[in-house]
Amino acid sequence: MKSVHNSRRMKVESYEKYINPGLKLLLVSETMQSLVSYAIVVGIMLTTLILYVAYSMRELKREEIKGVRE
Amino acid sequence: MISAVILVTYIVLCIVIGIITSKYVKTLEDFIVAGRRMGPWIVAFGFNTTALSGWLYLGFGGWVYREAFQAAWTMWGSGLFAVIASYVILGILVRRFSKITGSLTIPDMLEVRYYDQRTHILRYVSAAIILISIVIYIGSLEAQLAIAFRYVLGMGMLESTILGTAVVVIYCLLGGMLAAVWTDVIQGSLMAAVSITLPPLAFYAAGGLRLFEGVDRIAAQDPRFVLSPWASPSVVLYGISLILFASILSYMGQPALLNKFMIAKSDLIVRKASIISTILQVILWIGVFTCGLAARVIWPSPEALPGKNTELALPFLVETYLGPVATGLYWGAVLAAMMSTADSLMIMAVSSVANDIYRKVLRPQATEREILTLSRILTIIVGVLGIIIAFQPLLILWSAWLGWSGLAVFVVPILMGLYWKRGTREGAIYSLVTSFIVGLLWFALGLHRYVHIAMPSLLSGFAVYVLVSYLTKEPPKEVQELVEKVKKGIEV
Repeated sequence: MKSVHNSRRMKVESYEKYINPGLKLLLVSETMQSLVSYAIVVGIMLTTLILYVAYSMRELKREEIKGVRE
Repeated sequence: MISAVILVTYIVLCIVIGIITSKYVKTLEDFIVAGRRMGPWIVAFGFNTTALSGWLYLGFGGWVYREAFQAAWTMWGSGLFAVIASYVILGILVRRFSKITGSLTIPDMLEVRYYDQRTHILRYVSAAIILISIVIYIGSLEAQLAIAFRYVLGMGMLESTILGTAVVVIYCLLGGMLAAVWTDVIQGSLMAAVSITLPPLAFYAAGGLRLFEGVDRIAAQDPRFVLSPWASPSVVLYGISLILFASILSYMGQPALLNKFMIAKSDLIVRKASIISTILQVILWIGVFTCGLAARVIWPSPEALPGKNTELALPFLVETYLGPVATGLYWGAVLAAMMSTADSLMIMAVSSVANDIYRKVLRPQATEREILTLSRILTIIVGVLGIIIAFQPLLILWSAWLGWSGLAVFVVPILMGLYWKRGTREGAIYSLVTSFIVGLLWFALGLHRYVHIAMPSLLSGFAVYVLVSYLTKEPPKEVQELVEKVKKGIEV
C-alpha cells in the first residue's frame, strides 16, 4: 500500500518538476515557437517517409512472393 | 585555389565517364534509355538528380533564408509527395507500357496509346512542346552553371556559360543516357554527402539550440517567418497551386523523369528505386532547409551577404565556417545538381527530334549509326540554343518555372491515358495544345506572380481532355484492352 502511495507521489512530483514546465515551455513560451514549427515541418517529412517505406516493403514482399509462385 | 582544384577534378571525372560509357553506346536504345537494364540505385539517383537542379542549393536555400517556414510548402510538395506520387501512380505503369509497346520516349508512348500511327499529329505536337520547353529550361540551367563557375573560378559570364555548357554537352555527346545516369550516381552521392554533413555544422555555427531563439527574434518582426498557412489567403492559394499543381502533377508530367522509369530492368526495380529516391529526397531537402535557417540567424540582414544576394546565403555559410575544401565540395554539389538535370533534359530534347520525328516519320530506313550521329549533332545545337536563352536577362528569372510547367502538360494524356481507357486521340491532342497555350498566356499576362502557371494550365488541360474524349468516338477495342492489360500487369 505504502509503495503504491510512494510511486504515485513520485509520479506527481516528476510531472510537476519536469513534464509540466516542459509542456509550458513548448506550448506557451514564445521563444520555442520556431522549434515547434521546425519539428512540425521535419516531422511531416519523416513520418510520411517512414509510412511510405513500410508500405513499399510490404508491397515488395508481396510482389516477390507472387513472382516466385508464377 | 583548393576549391577550384576540386571543381576542376569533378569536371574531368564527368568527361572521363562520358568517354568510358561511349564504348557501350551502340544503338539509339542505348543512347536514350540506356538499354533498359538499370538497377534500383541508378534509377533512383537518376530520378532525384534530374528532378533537382541547382535551384535546391541556391534558390531554395535563399528562399528559406528570406521566408523560413513558408518554404515548407515547396519542400513537402516537391521534396516528398511529388516523388512518392510519381513512383506509386505512374512509375510501374509507364515502365510496363513502354516495355510492352517498345516505346523509347513519351511521344512514342502517346502515339501507341492514342492510335495516332497514321497522322503522327500527336508526335509532332509532343516533340514541339518538349523541344521548346527544354531549350528554355536548359537556358536557365546554363545561366545557373555560369553563376557557379564565376563564383569559384572568377571567370566572366560568357566564358562561364560556355565552359559549363561544354562539359555537359561533351559527356552527353559521348555516352548519351548511359553517361548521364552514371554521372547522376556520382552527382547524387556528392549532393547527399553535402546535405548530410553540412546541417550539423551549420547548426553548431548558429549556436546550437539558440538557433531557434534567433529564428523567433526574426519572426517577431517578420510574419512570413512563422509556420502558418493562414497568414493570408494568397499564401493558401499559392500553397495549393505549388503543392498540387507545380509539384505533384508537374513531376508526373516531366518526360525526363518518366524516362527514368523506362530504363529500369523490371517492375520490382521501380518499387525498390522508389524507396531509395524518397529517403534521398528527404535527406537533401531537410539538409538545405536547416542550413537556410542557420544562415539567417548568423546574418539576420542580407547586407552581410555577397552582393546582398540571398541565393548566395548557403555558399557564403560554407565558405565562412568550413573552409576551402568544403566550399569546393559544396560548389561541386551545386554543379552536380545543375548538370544532372541539364544532361537528362538534353537527351530528351535530342530524342524528340532524332527518334520521334526523324526515325519514326521522316526516315524510317535510317541506320542506327546515322541516327546516333544526328543525335550527337543535335546535342551540340541544343547546348548552343541554351546559351542564347541564358543571355536573355528578362526571361532568365522565370525560365526554369516556364520550362518546367511547359513539360508538365504531359501529365494529362499520360495519367489519364494509363488509367482511363475512354480517353481519345482528339482529347489528348486538344488537351496538350490547350495546357501549353494557357500556360504561356498566364506567364505573358504576368498572372504567375499570384497563382503558379501549372494550376490554370493543367486544370484547363484536364477539362478539355475529358470533354473532348466524351464528344469523340471511343478508342479502338485493342487500345482499350492494352490499357487494361498494363493496369493488371499481364504479359510483362
